[in-house]
Amino acid sequence: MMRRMIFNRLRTSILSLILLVTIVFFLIHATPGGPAYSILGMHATPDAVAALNKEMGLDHPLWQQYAIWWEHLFEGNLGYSFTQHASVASLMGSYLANSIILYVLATLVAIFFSIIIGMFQGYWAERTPGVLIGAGQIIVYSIPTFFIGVMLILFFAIYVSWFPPGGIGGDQSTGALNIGSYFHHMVLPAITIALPLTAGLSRYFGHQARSEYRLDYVRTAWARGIPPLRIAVNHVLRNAIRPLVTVIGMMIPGIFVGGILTESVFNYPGLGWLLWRSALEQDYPTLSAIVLLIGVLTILGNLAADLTNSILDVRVRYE
Amino acid sequence: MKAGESSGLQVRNLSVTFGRGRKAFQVIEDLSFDIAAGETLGLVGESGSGKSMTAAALMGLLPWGGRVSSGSVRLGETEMTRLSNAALRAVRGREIGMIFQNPLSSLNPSLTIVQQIAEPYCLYCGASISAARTHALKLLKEVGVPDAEKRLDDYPHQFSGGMRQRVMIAMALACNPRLLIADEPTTALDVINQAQILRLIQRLQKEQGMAVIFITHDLSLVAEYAHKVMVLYAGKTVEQGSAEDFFQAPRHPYSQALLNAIPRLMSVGKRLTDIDGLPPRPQEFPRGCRFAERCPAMTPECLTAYPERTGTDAHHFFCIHPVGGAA
Repeated sequence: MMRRMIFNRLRTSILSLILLVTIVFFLIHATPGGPAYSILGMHATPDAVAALNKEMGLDHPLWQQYAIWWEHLFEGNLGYSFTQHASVASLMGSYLANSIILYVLATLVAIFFSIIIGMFQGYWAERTPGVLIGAGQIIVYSIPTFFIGVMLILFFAIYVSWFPPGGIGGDQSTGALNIGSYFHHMVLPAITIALPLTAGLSRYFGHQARSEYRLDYVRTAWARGIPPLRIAVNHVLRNAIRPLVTVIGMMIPGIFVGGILTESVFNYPGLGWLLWRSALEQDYPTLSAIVLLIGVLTILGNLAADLTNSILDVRVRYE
Repeated sequence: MKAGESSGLQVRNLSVTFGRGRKAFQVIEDLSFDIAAGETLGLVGESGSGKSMTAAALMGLLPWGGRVSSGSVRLGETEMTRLSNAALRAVRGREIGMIFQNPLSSLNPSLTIVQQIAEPYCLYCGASISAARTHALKLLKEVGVPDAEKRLDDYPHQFSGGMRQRVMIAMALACNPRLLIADEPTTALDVINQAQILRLIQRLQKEQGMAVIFITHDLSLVAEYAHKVMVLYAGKTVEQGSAEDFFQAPRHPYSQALLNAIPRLMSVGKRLTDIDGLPPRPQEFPRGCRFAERCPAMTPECLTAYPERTGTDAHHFFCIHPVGGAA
């Protein structure tokens, strides 16, 4: 039964992947002017455009280009960035690593605090502290990411000078990387991403914990003299945490969106920053590669969430 | 103090109030009853009459906003209303066991049976994990779960309704409580399971000498399993007495009406009598008799003040126009 379920989920994921690649392909081709004009500028001569189109293989019929795009993807060839003069894959490598480390760090911090805040909120639901937590979540969630980032820089980087205002630390030109400095640079961007994430996630988890606290089995536990902390951890958390895994999986695109703004505010050389810059420079190969990557990660995140969820839920596991 | 009283439950003038100041209202007023060890009290009333609230007050588990505003609850030598939260938890874990109406939702879906039975046993009776496991096994056998060894590590959803209620009973009995509160324990079960579960409780009660509070709205079950009966209406006692006296000669019109609403095999073809109207809400409790509005024997005097207690300790009621004439 379990194997069948995994198979079904995998099939859905692969289908979404195919759809995603197709959509990204046609989106690029729907761009007004086309890639050649983006590279050569709006006033390029038709001859130059035709020559460049031929060089880039854009003179083939659309279905052929579509097939070639697939072929290249399978070879791991994401294209060539004409504005950066490097293959997109090699360009993305270090940016991707920076981003992944930052996002994972921010997400872990957000999950940790969301669970703690959510448990209190669930326990105190409809009493003053619970209402206050709820108000705080809405306020934090409503502050735009770039504003949080700028305020953090203003206070922690400029006013008290605890953290650097941006960049990534280490000497980028020699490639020498100081781990301490690397993470020191990551603190403020990580907080910037984690804050709204925590607000949203803790609110969701708070609702979950609150409805769990109202269930009969929690009443049973109270009636059996189980202490509050043990009820929270051993009974409520155990059941409330299950849907959280799915939500985290589904939040991946949101994390990237927050990441784009955060990285541009902090001048942090990550994927979001690269995306922002390639959008400004109309670097379509890089842009489409990043969009594709975010899409793939989202699909994988959802898949992982579903699978973890089925492992955590004894009822799914045993049926 | 008489022997026997010291090991049972003694409740005196218990009142529960919600809210403060002008918005305060009482949901339970002035309840008094005794249950000796080995005795069963049937607590009867409609939904909202305060049965479950009484149980919650005894356990110190009133919903947020509620408090015991007066009265005393003595379990053995312990005055429950004066205990700290931690002491109260220990009492709940070892001295009082409770079973609830819906045995599926009352069990944690993601813990195994043995984990749930053993939890307070480890916490309050100081047992090691392996000792707790052995104890849980013994309990499961005692409540009649077949293949108990194999079922210890099963999850609640793998049990049938009747078996789940047996597990609940095993959980409630984990620390040999003095008092068992069964809050409508068989409402969610079919008739055969109902009889089996109630007989099981009866047997365990005899073996362990527990006092039992049996909360139900089903008078026919009370007639079969309880020694004493207490009828609640709108948060107050209307009649209390030994099961024998009560069922032979109920005195309060409300008790009479409840008894008339029980279907009987011998009266096939006759209409069941029901009671018109609804009980009042706690915020709107009248000054006089709370049943007056629905009572066939109501006179203007009924509305002026709550009736005095009439009768003996063994059988008393609160009504100025009792069934069968004044005493």
